Order: sequence, then structure tokens, then C-alpha cells
Amino acid sequence: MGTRIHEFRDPIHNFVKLDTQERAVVDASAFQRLRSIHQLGMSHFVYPGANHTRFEHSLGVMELATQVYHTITSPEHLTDELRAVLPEVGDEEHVRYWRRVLRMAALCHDLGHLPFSHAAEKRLLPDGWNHEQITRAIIESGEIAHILGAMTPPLRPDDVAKIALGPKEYRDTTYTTWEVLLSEVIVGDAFGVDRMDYLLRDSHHLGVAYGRFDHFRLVDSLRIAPPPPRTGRDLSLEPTVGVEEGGLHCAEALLLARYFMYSQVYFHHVRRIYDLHLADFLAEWLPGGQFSVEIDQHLAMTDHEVMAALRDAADAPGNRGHDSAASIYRRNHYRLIYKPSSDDVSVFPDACGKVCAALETRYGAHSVRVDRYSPRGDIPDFSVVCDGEAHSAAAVSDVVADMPLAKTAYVFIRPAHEEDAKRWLRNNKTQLLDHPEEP
Amino acid sequence: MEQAARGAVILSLMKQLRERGSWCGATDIQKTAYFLQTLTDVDMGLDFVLYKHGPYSFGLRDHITQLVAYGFVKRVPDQPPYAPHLEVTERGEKLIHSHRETVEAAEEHITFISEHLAQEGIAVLERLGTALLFTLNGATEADQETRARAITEAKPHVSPEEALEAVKRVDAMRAEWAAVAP
Repeated sequence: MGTRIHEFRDPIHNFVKLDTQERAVVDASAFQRLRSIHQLGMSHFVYPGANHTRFEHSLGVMELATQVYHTITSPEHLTDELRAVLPEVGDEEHVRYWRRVLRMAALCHDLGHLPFSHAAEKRLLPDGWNHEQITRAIIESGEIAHILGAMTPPLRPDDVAKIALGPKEYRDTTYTTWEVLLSEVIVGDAFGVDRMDYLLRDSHHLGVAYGRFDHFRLVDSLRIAPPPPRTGRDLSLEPTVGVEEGGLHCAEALLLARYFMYSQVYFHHVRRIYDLHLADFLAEWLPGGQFSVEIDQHLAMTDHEVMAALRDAADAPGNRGHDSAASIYRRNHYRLIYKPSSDDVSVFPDACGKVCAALETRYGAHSVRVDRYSPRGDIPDFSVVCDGEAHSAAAVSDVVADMPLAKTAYVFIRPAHEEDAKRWLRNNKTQLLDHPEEP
Repeated sequence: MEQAARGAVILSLMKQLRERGSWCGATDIQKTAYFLQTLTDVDMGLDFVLYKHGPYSFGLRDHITQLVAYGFVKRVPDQPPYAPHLEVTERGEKLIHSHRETVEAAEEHITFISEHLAQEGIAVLERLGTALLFTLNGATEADQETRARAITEAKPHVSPEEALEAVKRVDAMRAEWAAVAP
């Protein structure tokens, strides 16, 4: 097969380029399916522009991962100390092999997503499964594994899956320092390109500015951070991905973009209730209340199948999942009735749970929905390379040190009860929360 | 162990570490919590893998972040190059108090770990944690040199001498805990 370069137009990265062997992965049915998986679940019901899919996001992640890899492995950015603890970077063949592994890992990292992406994954999959485990199964077997193995040089599918998932999800093996670094490029908390791409892309399609940051400068400033200075307290010499001092403000902007996108977009209360209605519908509509983890069945299930079923269910009161489907399709979603203030939480830490329980007693459990999101991932911090030494970003940046952590909690009520519930809560909230309990 | 009780145990560990001179950053807590769970058998339900600077729990990472987000712990920045350390707040003290039975049951374990590890920096904790992980992950029967080699293969920035010393120290700690465990 002759090899040539193929180009995809992309609104974020302008052009995304692949060679013919890589293009075979894009052409595989498992990857083409991503054209039918919305990146942001049902957000297009709130932000009409949110119709972008996992397909273009995956291409974007591959492009950014390639740029980061090029920057951090450039000889002018590597010190002798780093070469000593990372011998891999001195071996050209090795660097070429892992470049391709990283690109394919980035391209394939979302293959296991369920319809409408993240919505209620825990509830709708058997115990022990999540979309990452499905991604792994797809990469390591069948069509994708065959394509990877046929590349020149052949890629080991488990190398690709390992880098795509990272140590949190690919559990039954040990990562070398090099593999940890590469997986950080994709899924890392600080500079993972998965996050970089979705912030930029979501921001672009939704028409909001919160998610933008100077990713050109940031990517150009990333480094494999050198060992920290030798001081009184001994610090680990293990390399990590950090940022050169000149890129610190771009890294701060990335953290702020993430915070604002979570608070303003991903936590939008109408978006959240649509996700809950969708999960309720799927739990009723799917056989056994769960998605299949059989690869063939997974690949056959996309947003289109779910939307068609949702419309049928919304139209016919006797159909399974009718109430939830109608809530979505007729835009008759449950209404936000309570969001705890910091004062409420200081009096009663689980104010949301308390209000939810009281409303359930009054209106019935089916009329109330609660939604909570607690922050996950690291407390924001990363290495900043100052004069050839690695420093904690929180020590050199007030923005990083004081970065807030996005979290939210909501209680929703059936529209028919909205006015009555508002009145009741206004008259009873203080008394309800005025019994401090131990946290 | 339910989440709030686990939070109380972690907060208690943080307090003891600080009292005994630990910097008590997120990495210090990760490594000492690993010892607390695996060497002294305080089952916090955490799952550790070999990752950044030795054994690492993604569940504990999220838990620490949530303790900060909900005000049970505060971040205190330091001078470069150091990462912030973490301090238990008044709200955190209340959480410990409300789970005092669980915390008291783990008290001797926490004290043992704090006495042995609070004074150590990240580099030493990384080596000791990795040594314990290789010791417990099927290599218990392997001699000390073999386990030390496994450490340097996984963490090339650790020297063979440092790795061997870490293995010996972990073996000694295990023997000591076996002798004093309640």
C-alpha cells in the first residue's frame, strides 16, 4: 500500500494530517462510529451549536499529542540528567515507534464511549466496566488491533491501549517512567491534551469564550521537567511533564479555562437535568437496564439509535421510558428548585441531600432528582522550569495556589410542582437546615 | 470504610505527620497512606498502583482534592521549589471528632507510620513505598537484591544502593510492626 499524507480540515487546529496507514484507523467502523456520538451529550438542547462529536475531538487530540511529543522530545529541550534517567529519548527508532503509538492512542482514546458520551455511565454499565475498559477491548481485539499490527513497524495494541488509558484505567500492568510520561501527554491532569482539545473545541462550538487559552504558546513551552534543585528537603528525581517559565501564564489560563467551563457550561443546570432524564430513559429502555459490553453490540449503538427510540417513547404514553423521553423531547424537563449556598453548607454540609429528602417526602421520589458533582483529579499544581530547575507552580504562581475547585449540587422538581415547591422551600428551608448534624 | 470515615482517618494521619515534622504535601500523604493501608492493615478501601513517585492511589487523589474543595483541609503555599502543604481546618477537626471511633481504632497504626516516615522527604518515601510495593506484589519471597533490582528497573532515577537500602528498611519496618501490632 502506498503511503501519502491525508489532511482533515479542523476548526481548532486548521489541518490534522495522517499518513495512509494511520488513515486506516480513521476508516475503521469503530472510529467512524464516533461521528455519531455527541461530544457533550445532550448539551445541544441548551447550546444549539454543541453538535460536535467525538470524531473530530479524537482527531484534535491526536494533533495536539503529536505537537507536545515533538516539543518535549526535541534534543534542545533535553538535558544530560534527563537522558540519564530516560534513556529512551536517545534512541531514534524508539522515539519514532512511540510517536506513532502516542498518535494512535490519542486517536483511539474515546472509542469506547457510550451514546451521548458520559451520561450516567456507572449506572448503565455492568459492575467493573466503564468506557475506558470498552476502549481497551476495542483497541486490543478485532479490526483496530489488526490495523495497528499491520503498520510499519507493527504497533503492539496493548502499548496503544496503555498510553490511551493511563495507569488509572489500565490496571494489570506496571508503567515505565517513559510510559507514564506519554500517558500524561494524553490524560494528564495538568497538561493532558484530551482536556486541552475539549476545552478549545467545546468553547468554539458552544459560542462561549471561557474555554480559550493560548494553546500554541503552551504546547511550545511544555518540557520534560528536569530534577528539582537539591535543597534541604529531598525531592523526587522522577521526570514529569512541566512547563517552561515563559509558558506559565498560558498554563494558568488553561486552569482558569477549565474552571470556567465547568462552572458555566458543564454544570449548566438544564444540561445536567437532561443528562438525568436521559439516564432514566435508558435505564427503562435498554434490555436489563444496561448497555451491552459486547463489542459488536456496543459499536452498533449510537446517539441515532437512542434518539429514534426516545422520539418513539415520547410519542406513545405506553412505551417504556415515556415520562423521561417526553421530559426531554417536549422540553418539559424538571426545574431547578435548590442549589445550596455556602451559608447553607456551613450550617448543614449535605444541605442538598436534606432538601432532596424533604421534597421527596412531600412530592414523591419520582418528582425529585438530585445531582452532585465533586471535584476529581489533582489539586492544581505542576512543575515550572525556572533557570533549568523544576519548581512547584503553586510556589511561583498565586493563580495556581489559589485556583478554586469546581463543584456543584442541584435539586430538581417536576414542573407541575415547581411553584408550590418554591413556596414551601422559601417558608421551610431555614428550619429544615437549622439542625446542624455532624458532617 | 465509608467515605467520611476514611476522610477522618486521612485527616488524622495528616495531623500526626505535621506534628512529627512532615511537610505533609499531597505526595507525602499518598505514600504514608499506602504504608498505613498495606503495612499496618488499616483498610481504607484504596487501590494503589505504581505511578508518580511510587505507589499511588487515584481514589486517594480525588479524596484529598475533595477534602480541600469542601474546606476540611487548606492548602498552604511555600517558597519555591516546594509544593504547598496541607493543613487540617476546624471543619476537618469536626470530621475527625464525628468519626472518633474509627480514628481511635487506627490510632496506633497511624502513630507507627508517622513515627517512622514523617521526617522523610519525597525521594525517600518514593523509594520506601516502591520497595514495599514490590515486596508485597508477589516478590515477598525474593531476596533483597532481587527486589532492589526490580525497583531500579521501574524507577531508573533510583540508584542500586538507594534501592537496596529501601528494601532493607521496609523489611525491618514490617518485622517491627509484626512485633508491636495491636
